[in-house]
Amino acid sequence: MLQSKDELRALKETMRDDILLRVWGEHLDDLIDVQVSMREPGGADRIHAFLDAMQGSMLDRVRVSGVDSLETQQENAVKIVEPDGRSSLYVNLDEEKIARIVQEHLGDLQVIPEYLDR
Amino acid sequence: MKNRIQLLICGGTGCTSALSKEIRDRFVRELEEKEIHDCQVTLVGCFGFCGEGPIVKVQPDNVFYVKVKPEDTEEIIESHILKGKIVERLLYTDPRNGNRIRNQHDMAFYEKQHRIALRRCGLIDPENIREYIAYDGYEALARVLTEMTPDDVIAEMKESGLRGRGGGGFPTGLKWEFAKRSQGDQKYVICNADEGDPGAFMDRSILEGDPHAVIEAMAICGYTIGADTGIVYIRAEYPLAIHRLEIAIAQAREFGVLGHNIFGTDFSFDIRIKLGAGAFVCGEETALIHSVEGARGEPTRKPPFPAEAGYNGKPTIVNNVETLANVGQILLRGSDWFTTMGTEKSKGTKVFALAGKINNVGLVEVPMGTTLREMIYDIGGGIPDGKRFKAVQIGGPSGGVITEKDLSTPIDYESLKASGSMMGSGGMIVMDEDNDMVEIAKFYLEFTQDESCGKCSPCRIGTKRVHEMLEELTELKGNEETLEKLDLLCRNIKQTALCGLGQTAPNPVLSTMQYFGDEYKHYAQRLIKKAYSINPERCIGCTKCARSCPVNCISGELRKPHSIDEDKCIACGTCFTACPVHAVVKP
Repeated sequence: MLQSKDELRALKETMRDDILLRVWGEHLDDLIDVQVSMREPGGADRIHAFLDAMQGSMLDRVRVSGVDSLETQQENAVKIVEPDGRSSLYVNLDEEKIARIVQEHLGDLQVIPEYLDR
Repeated sequence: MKNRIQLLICGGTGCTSALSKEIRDRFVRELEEKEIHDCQVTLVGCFGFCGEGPIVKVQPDNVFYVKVKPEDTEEIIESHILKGKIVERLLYTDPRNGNRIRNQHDMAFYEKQHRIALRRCGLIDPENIREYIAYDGYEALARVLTEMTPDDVIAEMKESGLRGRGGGGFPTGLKWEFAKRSQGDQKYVICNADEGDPGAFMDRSILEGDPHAVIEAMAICGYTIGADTGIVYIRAEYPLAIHRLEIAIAQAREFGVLGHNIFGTDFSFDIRIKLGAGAFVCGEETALIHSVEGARGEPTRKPPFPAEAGYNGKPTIVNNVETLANVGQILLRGSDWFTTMGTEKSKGTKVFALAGKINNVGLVEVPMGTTLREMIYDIGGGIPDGKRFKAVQIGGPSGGVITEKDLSTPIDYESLKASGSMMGSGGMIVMDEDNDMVEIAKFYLEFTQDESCGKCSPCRIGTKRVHEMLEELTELKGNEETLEKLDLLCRNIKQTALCGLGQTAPNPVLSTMQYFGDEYKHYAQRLIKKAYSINPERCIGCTKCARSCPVNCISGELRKPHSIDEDKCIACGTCFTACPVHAVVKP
């Protein structure tokens, strides 16, 4: 019995891999991969923050997934891999920064230098 | 274990009748026997390419196998699943160049399609609410209940420009606003799933492939207008859709998205199913409401409109299945997104059932504004056997024909009406040079006359007389006066019949008279020879025509040219269809 929107989203997350596998094939060649570090607590929240920020923005070709760790010592890291293999590693993210990344990087394909891991 | 491969098997009515469930069962059994545990097998909704079914799609490889038989499962597993080698012989062959195509999106049939109402058909298991939720399901309902007021929803729906997909084209947001403003201690939401046009199966496919999308939209509508009860009126001839809808409603209750205090809010809503007996007139909303009430399915005059006084005299929204299937996406992605598709007055997409004399038969969803030429020649792949296109009937028995000269007409409510046809619910029957347009008109009139509820005399008596006149003509008993009477009577029925069924029933006659008047004149002047004949130079004496003739008027010896007794021939055309070498000549 679903009591709230959060419970709905949690259930959605449990099914996500299988559904993505079905949809991936459609966009395998031009998918933007958003890899969210799950090393420290709050990884699931960051995934949700991305999904929330993307809602209604027609970003069909973006796949958000959790990974065990990313190659950085910084916290709250997210790696964005373009279809051509180029990648950008963002660190120390919060909700506000995530919203900007969605708008500028995923939406307008403009990397945000000040958030990158140096 | 995480799944590596997804096997999606079409579970629509067409593919089910072609043994897709057996294909699913064999895949499951053989994968088990071979101890392959990372391959999920799922029966999904209709992929749309019904003429090529049963369809099996392998993801994430994006391989689309067509005309799969149960005995093909072993080869797919051995070759594709285990060795990564595609089974070439099961790929679709492009009729334009003979190339094998593996990816459905490279097929002309899919290239120009854009799926909103059908977006989850062919992707999720319609009998598993979890898969619907995984693919954004009930997200719109959650957002509406927790973040939006009913007026917000109405504003968004009005902004989207969504219009009723059942044929009328009335703005959905406006309809909801009327119902919200109407006073009533009880209000209702009814889903009109009484799809009755010959050849149309859009709504059935949505309910079979994505029933939760309709349930979710009904709940959103209920919240918006202040209703706590929904009713799905569906014809009993749709057993698979009913079965899946029953499962979906039960699961929605179990997960708390139907019932009391949905998502912890004060809003409660539940849905029940009412089976219809398959009367065409019950697609008309007032007749439908009477049928739900247990009365005869007869229409009544409007106003009052159902949004003011509908089921049990209470404010009622009646929306068709396809209309509802758009609602969740609009509220989730915004009206701005929806209005990027379509024309100025017709936004979004429309689903059509493409059938008749066309290479690619199936279910098609295109943005409004797509031209009929694109629909017939690009998506539909043109006319089989190199024959010439003659006309396309849109809007079922209520619509009219559109000919070659109007093929550039964009598909939208206004343009189709201006061309003498109508959007209707989405039936699209293509005809080639062999089709006799007077016979076509007679077929549709036989249908509407049979389906007339009998309440008003213009429809009850008028359609019968029109049908009799068409019979007179085709039996070569009519004359020029018959044509004049036919035209006059059709126009009278249009003006005087009580409901939409009667008012539109003469459309197939009037439009075929307008565009193919010569064919009517030939009949009236008795220039059309009644009997079929056989070209002795082409006939191979296979006897197929003689064996198929219902009146035994074809004779001849095996492997020698046959002949038709013209006095006995009833011109039914059965021999014409049966002949494998095109030796039978039409009258």
